[in-house]
Amino acid sequence: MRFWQLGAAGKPGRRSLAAAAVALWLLGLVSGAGTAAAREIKIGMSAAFSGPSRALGIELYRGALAYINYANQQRLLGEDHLVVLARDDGYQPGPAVQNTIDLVEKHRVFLLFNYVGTPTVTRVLPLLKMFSKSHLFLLFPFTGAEPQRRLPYRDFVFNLRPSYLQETKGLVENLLRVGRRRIAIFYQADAYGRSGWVGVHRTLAAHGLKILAEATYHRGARFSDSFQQQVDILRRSRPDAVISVGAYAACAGFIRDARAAGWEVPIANLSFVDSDNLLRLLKKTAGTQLRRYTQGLIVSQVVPSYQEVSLPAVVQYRRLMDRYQPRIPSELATEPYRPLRYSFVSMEGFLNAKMLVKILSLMKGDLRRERLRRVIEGVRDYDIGIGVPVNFGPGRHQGLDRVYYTTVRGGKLVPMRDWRKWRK
Amino acid sequence: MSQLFKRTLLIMLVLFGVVASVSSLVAAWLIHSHLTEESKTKAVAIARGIAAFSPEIFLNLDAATIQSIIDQFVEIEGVSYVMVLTSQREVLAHTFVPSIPRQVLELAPVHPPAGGRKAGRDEFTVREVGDYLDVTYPILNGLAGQVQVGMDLRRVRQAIWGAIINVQMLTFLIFVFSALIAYVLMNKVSRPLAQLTEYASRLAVRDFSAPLDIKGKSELGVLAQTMTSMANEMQSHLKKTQEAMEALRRSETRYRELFNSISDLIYTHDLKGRIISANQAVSQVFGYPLEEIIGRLISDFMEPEARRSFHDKYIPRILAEGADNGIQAYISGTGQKVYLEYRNIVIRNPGQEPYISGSGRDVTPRMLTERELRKSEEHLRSIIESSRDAILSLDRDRKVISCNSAFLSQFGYSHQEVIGRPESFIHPSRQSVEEFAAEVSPILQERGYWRGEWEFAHKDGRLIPMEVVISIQRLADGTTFGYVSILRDLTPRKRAEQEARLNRERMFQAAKMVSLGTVVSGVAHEINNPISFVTLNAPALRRIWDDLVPVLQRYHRQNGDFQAGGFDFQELQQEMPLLLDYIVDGARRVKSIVADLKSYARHTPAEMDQQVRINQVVESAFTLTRNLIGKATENHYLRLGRDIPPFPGNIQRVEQVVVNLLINACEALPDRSRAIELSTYYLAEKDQVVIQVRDEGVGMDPETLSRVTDPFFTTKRDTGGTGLGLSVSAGIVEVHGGTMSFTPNPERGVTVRVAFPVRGAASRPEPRQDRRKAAS
Repeated sequence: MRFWQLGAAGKPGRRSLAAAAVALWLLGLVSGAGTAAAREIKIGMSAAFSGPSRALGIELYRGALAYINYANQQRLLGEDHLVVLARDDGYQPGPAVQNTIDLVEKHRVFLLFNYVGTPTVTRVLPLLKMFSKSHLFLLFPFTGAEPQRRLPYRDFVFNLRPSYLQETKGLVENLLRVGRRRIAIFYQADAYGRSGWVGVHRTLAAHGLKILAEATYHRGARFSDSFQQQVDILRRSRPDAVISVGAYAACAGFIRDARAAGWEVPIANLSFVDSDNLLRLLKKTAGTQLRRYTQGLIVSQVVPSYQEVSLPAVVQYRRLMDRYQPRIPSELATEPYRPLRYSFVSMEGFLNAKMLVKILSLMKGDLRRERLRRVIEGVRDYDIGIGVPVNFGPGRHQGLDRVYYTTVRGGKLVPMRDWRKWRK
Repeated sequence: MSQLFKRTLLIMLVLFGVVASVSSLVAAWLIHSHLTEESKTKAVAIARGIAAFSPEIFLNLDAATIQSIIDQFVEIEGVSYVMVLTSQREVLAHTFVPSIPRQVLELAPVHPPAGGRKAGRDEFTVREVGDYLDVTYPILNGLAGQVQVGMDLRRVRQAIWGAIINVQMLTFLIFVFSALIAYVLMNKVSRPLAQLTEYASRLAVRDFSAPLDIKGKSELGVLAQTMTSMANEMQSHLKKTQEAMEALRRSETRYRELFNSISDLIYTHDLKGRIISANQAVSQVFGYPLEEIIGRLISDFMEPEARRSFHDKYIPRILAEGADNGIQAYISGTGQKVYLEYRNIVIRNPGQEPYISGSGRDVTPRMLTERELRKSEEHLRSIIESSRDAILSLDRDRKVISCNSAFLSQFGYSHQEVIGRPESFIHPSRQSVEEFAAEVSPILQERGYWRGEWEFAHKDGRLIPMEVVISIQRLADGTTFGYVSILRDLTPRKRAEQEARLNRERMFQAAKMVSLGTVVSGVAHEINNPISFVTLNAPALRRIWDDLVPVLQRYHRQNGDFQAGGFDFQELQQEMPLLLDYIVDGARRVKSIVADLKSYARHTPAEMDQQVRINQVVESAFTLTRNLIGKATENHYLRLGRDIPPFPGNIQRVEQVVVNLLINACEALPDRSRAIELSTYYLAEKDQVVIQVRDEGVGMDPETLSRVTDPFFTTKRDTGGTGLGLSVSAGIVEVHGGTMSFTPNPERGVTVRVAFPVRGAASRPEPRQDRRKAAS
């Protein structure tokens, strides 16, 4: 608390050596490194490293670490050294809140970064508001939910990825365009699911339509659980397409049960689903039926495909992933997981880290937290290497707006630009 | 355990039961109301909390944020769901998985009173929906929608059941504990009592060995002493009784053994038929254990149809007569029919309901045998009855026991007339009886049967030739107990034999005639030539004589009388013409006979292609016989029918027939006053031409009538009849396909009717060449 009070006492906007020295000293004090020459910038991350959604936390961490390792190695922040303090919340709001308090109060992190999940993040938001006097920010959470994009919490969060509203709007409008008007929704019974639901609901309402049918599942459902009930509820109303707002384990289970029941309806998933792990689960269970299981799958993405090697960021991502092959801290590896060489999630983690490093570098060593907002809001047309620029600004706390669509072909996720094949 | 304690225990059990139930109910009610109230309070608090959380969220319809808020509350124990609806009653957020239950979705909307009585206060609504307690709370007085919080009522129910079980367990433990204490206390009080009770109860079973160690002057002590002395008194008294009883028991046992070992059934039953006692034999025959028999109704063992008669007939009968016997069928335990021959009497003891005592014997085998016998007898009877032979069953004394209907019909008796009569009544005479006995008896005794033919007499005296088989009926030991006669009427056979014999004779006659015919025709031919000399020469001789007479007269006048052939000339002159006439006449008769014979023996049929006009033929025949008729009668009539069609045939032959008939008629007339009438007519319905000759002659007896057309049958043999005329005529008629019939007239004479078919004999088979009538 003392730290925050001290930090808050500092004068924002000034680039005085004295202030910087104080701040550096203070930071050094906090990190316990002791030397002003090699400051550690602690970044707090609470994400799912265990449970059925652990792939999200792990891959996001790995992608981010690939660039952070690179940045540290290349001294992109000069003498400053980025350290990511990762905590496992198992995709549950309670632990996420506790982790946040720990990270802030005990470890005194500089900012919060790469949080995973809507239910977790929405519950952390009031904490941010509480800590707002000490200018605590959450950067680039892995969620497209609305609460952190709106007042009253918008001011404490910066997003890189487009929102679920944008993703669902894109999916629904594309589906409507190809004549699929009877749309049902399968979603997680929590804030994340509700965000997707709201997106679908609003887009359909704008076209004078309603959600045809809906079915929910409990957050934390495993792939091994049965989703037959949900399949039956939705199938009864014979929809043209199903929008699936969930985590990969449940979504894969839902797809499996739908296809096993002979239901071939197109199923469109959001970026959060972690398409790579979704596909991996389906492959594991489908065996020779893979084509049937993966047919009719659409996943909206918020980052370009890691196969688009014409993009510099993709090239860099692949190179750094291969070079560092990042691993999660051993104390978090409580459950078995086989990392993916490349994935959309780690790609997003990579871009998040790249943006973070860019922002920190923009602070030019003056790491006063009250400066952070001004610096980020000052980012304009930053070419992060994916063909579209990143833009922030006052009131604009979301860097990217482009939504990408992928589908599965030949057992691989491939970019999808033409929706006509989905015509009813 | 003493009775006292048992009773106390029971009362305690009931009391504790009541206590347990009441306390369970109270606890359940308390818990229910408390928990429900708590749930409600909790739900209201949550709902209010959500509603009051941040109104702008609801106004913004920020579903995701609302979702994250309500998610927190679902984690609270007992909360099943939270649901937020917009003011338009659209679901904004909910926590249901996999979907909102229909019953919750269909809850009637709550209309909060807008600024009404409770404006600004808690206007929540509480409803029970299935397993949930639903609390609906308006947001901003309903303007921003409503919050619904569902509390899990199953939790309340579980709690209630938990409480009930706990209360019951506790009560039970207290009960067990109390029971134990009660047991100990009771024991202390009741031990001497129990001792006395036990002593008394052992006395009751005559056990006098029990010790009784209650001393002292207390009431119990005195009671104990009194009881001990009483016991001693009883013991000595009892001993005597026991000895007497023992003797009685032994006697009773013997009696019962006897009763049970008797193979006859012995029993008693009351007037309703309820079995009072029965011996072992009853059980064996009925196939039920005795315990199942005693006390049941006798009629239970009978066939249903016999039950009514048991009550309606048997009981009144035996009451009236005092005794009854007979045979009654029962159904045994194995379902088989059992026949009992019973002999029952009514026992009347003064001051006691009368009852029936009886004995019975199993006669089932006998009954079954009898039934089989009856069946087989019936079988035999039906065979006998259906026989066409007369069958007679006789007893040892040859009296009729039975006979079949063939016998009755053949002999003309009725059944009553026959039964019991000696066999001899079917014999025509005393003599027949004796001869029959003499003939039959030895063989019958020797061989056991006799077969032969005998003539018996019908009731009306007519003799019946019969084939008889008599056989002796013997028992296995050889004793004769009866006879069976089988009689077959031979009359039809005899008649047939007679017929055959007649036929044989006719055949023989016919054959004789054929050969005779052949001979006759040969002889006739041979005779014809010599007789021609006579017939030709006799007239010449006459003429010669006539011419000689004047010469001889002249000679007589000149020379006087002279003799020739023993005749004087005078005699000769008279006799010679007569002699010559005799020759001529005889020769002519011979010639006629020969002609007849030739005609009879003629083999070749005549031409049949002429059209015979019967009236012409009759006129012609009449002309031919005019002289004869004139001599025979003064009254002859000829009635010729009109429009008679011609028929095909031979005119000469038909004429011959008519002539024959006329001659016969004339010859039948004894004097000239009698009449002959010939008529012809056409019988349209039969398409026949009929010639009818009626005479008033001497007539014919039946024998003659039947043989009138037989060849060589004649009644005029002495006057030169050949017996061929009618035979030939009959042959001619037959060739023409016609018929000839002779009918005696009512008054006298005969009418002969000859009918010729107009269509001729064409339809008839080839006429036999043998025209002579012969029986075949």
